[in-house]
Amino acid sequence: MSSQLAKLIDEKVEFLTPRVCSVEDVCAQTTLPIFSDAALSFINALSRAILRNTHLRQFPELIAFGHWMRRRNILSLKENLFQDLRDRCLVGRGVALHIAPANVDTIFLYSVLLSLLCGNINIVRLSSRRSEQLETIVELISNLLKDESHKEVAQRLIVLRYERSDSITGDLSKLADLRVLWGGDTTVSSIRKLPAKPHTSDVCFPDRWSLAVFNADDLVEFGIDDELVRHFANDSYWFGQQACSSPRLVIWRGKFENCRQASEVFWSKLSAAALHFSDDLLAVDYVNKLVAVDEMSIRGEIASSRVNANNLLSVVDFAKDALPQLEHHCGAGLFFQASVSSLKEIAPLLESKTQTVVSEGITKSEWLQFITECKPTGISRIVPVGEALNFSSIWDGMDLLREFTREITIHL
Amino acid sequence: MSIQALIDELYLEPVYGLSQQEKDQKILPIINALTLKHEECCEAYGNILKVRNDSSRIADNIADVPFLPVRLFKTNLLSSVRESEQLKVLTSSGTTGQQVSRIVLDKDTSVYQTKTVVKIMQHFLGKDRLPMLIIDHPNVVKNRQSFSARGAGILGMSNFGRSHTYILNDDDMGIDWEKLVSFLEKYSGGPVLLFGFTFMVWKYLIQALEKTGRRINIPNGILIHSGGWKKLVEEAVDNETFKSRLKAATGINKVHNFYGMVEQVGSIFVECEHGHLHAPIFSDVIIRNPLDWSEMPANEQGLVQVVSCLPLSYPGHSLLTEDLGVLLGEDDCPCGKKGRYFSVSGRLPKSEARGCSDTFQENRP
Repeated sequence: MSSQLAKLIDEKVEFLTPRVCSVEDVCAQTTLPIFSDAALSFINALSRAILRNTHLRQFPELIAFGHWMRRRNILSLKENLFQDLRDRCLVGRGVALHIAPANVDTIFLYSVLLSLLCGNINIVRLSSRRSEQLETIVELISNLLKDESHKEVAQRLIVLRYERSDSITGDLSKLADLRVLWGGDTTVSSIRKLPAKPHTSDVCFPDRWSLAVFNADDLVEFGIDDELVRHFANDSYWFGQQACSSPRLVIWRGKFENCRQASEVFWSKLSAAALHFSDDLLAVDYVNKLVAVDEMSIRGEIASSRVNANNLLSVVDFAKDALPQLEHHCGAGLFFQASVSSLKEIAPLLESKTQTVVSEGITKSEWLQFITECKPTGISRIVPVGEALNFSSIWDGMDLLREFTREITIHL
Repeated sequence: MSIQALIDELYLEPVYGLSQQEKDQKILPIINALTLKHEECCEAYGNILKVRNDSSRIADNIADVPFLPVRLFKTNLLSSVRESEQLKVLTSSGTTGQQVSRIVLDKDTSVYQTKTVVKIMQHFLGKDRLPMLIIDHPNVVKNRQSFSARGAGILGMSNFGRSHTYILNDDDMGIDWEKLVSFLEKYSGGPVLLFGFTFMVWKYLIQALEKTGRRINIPNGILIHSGGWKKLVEEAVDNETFKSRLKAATGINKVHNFYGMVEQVGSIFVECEHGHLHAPIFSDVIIRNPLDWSEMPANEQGLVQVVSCLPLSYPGHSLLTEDLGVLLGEDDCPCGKKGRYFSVSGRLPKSEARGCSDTFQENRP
C-alpha cells in the first residue's frame, strides 16, 4: 500500500468498525475456510442482534435480512453447496472490496455476509449518504466485532465511509482480488474503469428492472385473492418500488376480455391495499408520478392511464409499438401494463436489464418452454408473488458462493 | 364570442369585487375555451389529455379543469402558437445547473399580461405613476430578447413607476448611494414605489442597510416584492420579521408581497394588509390533497393549483405548482376583497432516493 493511501485514509475515511489494524494489515490476513466457524458464529450473533432490536421492527427488509442469516438457513446454504461440491475444493478469493450503493438500500449486506462465509477478507465502502437502517446495522456489526470472541472476523471485516473518491477507491481496488459493485450503471462503470490487479474479478449489480406476469384467465375464473394483492403490494411498495426486483410492469396473459376484467379488479384492490404504504410516500412522489406520466404522454409512449381511487397507484397502458423506459422509473406505485395472449409476446419487452419475474398462475413448465423457445434476453429469476424482494445466494444469474470463491482442482 | 372578447370583459369588472360565485360564472367559460384551444393547437397538451381519459374538456366547475404539473415547462417547450407568432420566450430564474422553464408568449398574451398587472397593481398603488426605486441592478433588464423572470418582473412593474432608479451596482450588488440619495432628496416626501425580489430586498437592501448602520426614511413608500421565501426560510426569516426589519431600516409601512410564477402569466396574488394572498378576477386558486388530488377544505395544507384566463399562447391556464399552501377563505377577508384568499407555506419537500440504483448524485471532489 502506498503511503499516499495511508494518508488519504487518515484524512478522508471514517472507520465504522473497530480499527484493529491498518487497511494494509487487514489485507495481509489469511482467508478463512469457507463456512468457517468464526463466520457462522458472527453471522448467527448478528442475526440475533437484529431480531432482538425492537427499533429495527419498523424496517421489514432488515427483519427479513435477520431471518435470512439465521443459523438454520445458513447451514442449509452450506449443505447445498457441499452436496454440489462432493470432494471438490473451494477457497476464498482473498480481499473483497464491496461498494455499497449510494441510497438507503441494504441488499448489499447480503453479499458482504456471503463473501465472509466464503472466507474472504472484506472491505466495505459506504457512501456518505446516511440512513437510519444502515447506521443501526453498522452499529450492531461494530459492537459485535469489539467482542473478543469475534476477533477472527474483526480482522477480516472493515466498514469504511468516505465521500466519493476515485483515488481512494482506486487504491483500495489495487488491494482487491474481488470487487463487488452495487449501484447505478454509471457508478458501476466508473468504478470498473479504476484498475485493479490483473486477476481481480468484478461481480456487478448495476441497474435492473422487474415485471409481473399474471394468468388473467385463472384470475377471472377463480377470483383475485386479497392475500395475493397484499403480497403484490409488498413486492411493489417496499423501497418505494425502486428496488431492482420491484415489479414495474404487469403483463396480463389470457383472453383479451379476461385481461381487461382481471386488471380492473386487481388494480382497484391494489389501490386499497396500497393505503398501507401511504406513510412511506410523500406528496412529491405523487407529483413526480404525474410528471412522469405526462412526459410519457408527450413522447407518445403510452395510450391511456387508469383513474384510481388515490394517487398511491398509477397505471398506464403502453402505446402500440412503444417500449417505455422501464429502467428509469420514478417508482412510488407507477405500473405499466400490457395484455398478451401468449407468453412469447413478452419476449420483445425484455432486455438484459430485466431481472425478476413475479409469476402468478403460470407453471414452471410453461416458463421452461418459453425460455427454450424464445431465448429471452434478461430474466434472472422467476418467483411467486410476495417473494420479489427475497434475497437468494443466486442473484442476477450468478451463484455468489461460487463467484466469491475459487476452485482448486486436484486431479490425483 | 371569441376568448379574447370574453377576457376583455374581465377588465370592465372590479379586480376584487366579484363574489366567488359571480367570478366562477365569468371565468369558467374562458378556462374551458382555453382547454379546447390548447388541446387543438398544442400537440403535447392534446396527448396528455388523451392519455388522461378522466378529464372532460368542458368542466362544470373550475376544480374539474385538468391541470398540468408546472415542472413540464422545464423539460418541454409547450406552445399553442406558430413560431412566427411567438413574441418572446420567458424563462424562469433557476439557479445555475437547474433547468429553467420556458414560456412562449404571443402578442395577445403579452398584452393581456401587461394589462392585468396594471389593473391589479393600480388597486394597490392608485392610478398615478409613482417615482420608483428598483431593488436590483440595471443590467438585469438589458437583454430584451431573453428575459430572466427577474428582468420580466421588473419591466412589468416598471409601468407603475416613473423616474425608475435601479439602486444596486452592476458589479457587486452594493447600494449605489449617490443615486439613492439624489432620488430620495427629490421624492421621499411623497409616495414612492419600491419593487424588488424578496431575497434581493432582504439581502441587498435591509441587511445591507443594517450592516452599514445607515438608515433611510421613506415613510410614504410602498414596497411590492415577490420571488419566494425559500432563501429567507433557510435563514428563519418570516414575513413579520421581514416587515419589521424593513420598517426599522427604511421607515416603510406599506408592504405587499405577491405570489406568482413565470409559468402562469396574469396570476398575481397580492398580499392584503392582513397578510392574505388574494386571487384577482383573472385567476383562481385551488388547494389539492396530494394523496388523491381532491380539493382540500379551507385551513388544511395542500398543493397549490393556479388557474388563469390569460395564457392564450401556451397551455398554462391550469397548473399544479410544487408549492404548499392553505386556503383561508372565500369572499370574507376583513380587507373587503371578494373571492378566495390563501397563504403559501413553502416548497414541497424533496424525497430521498431509494432502491438499488443510486439516483442520488454524490458530489465529486
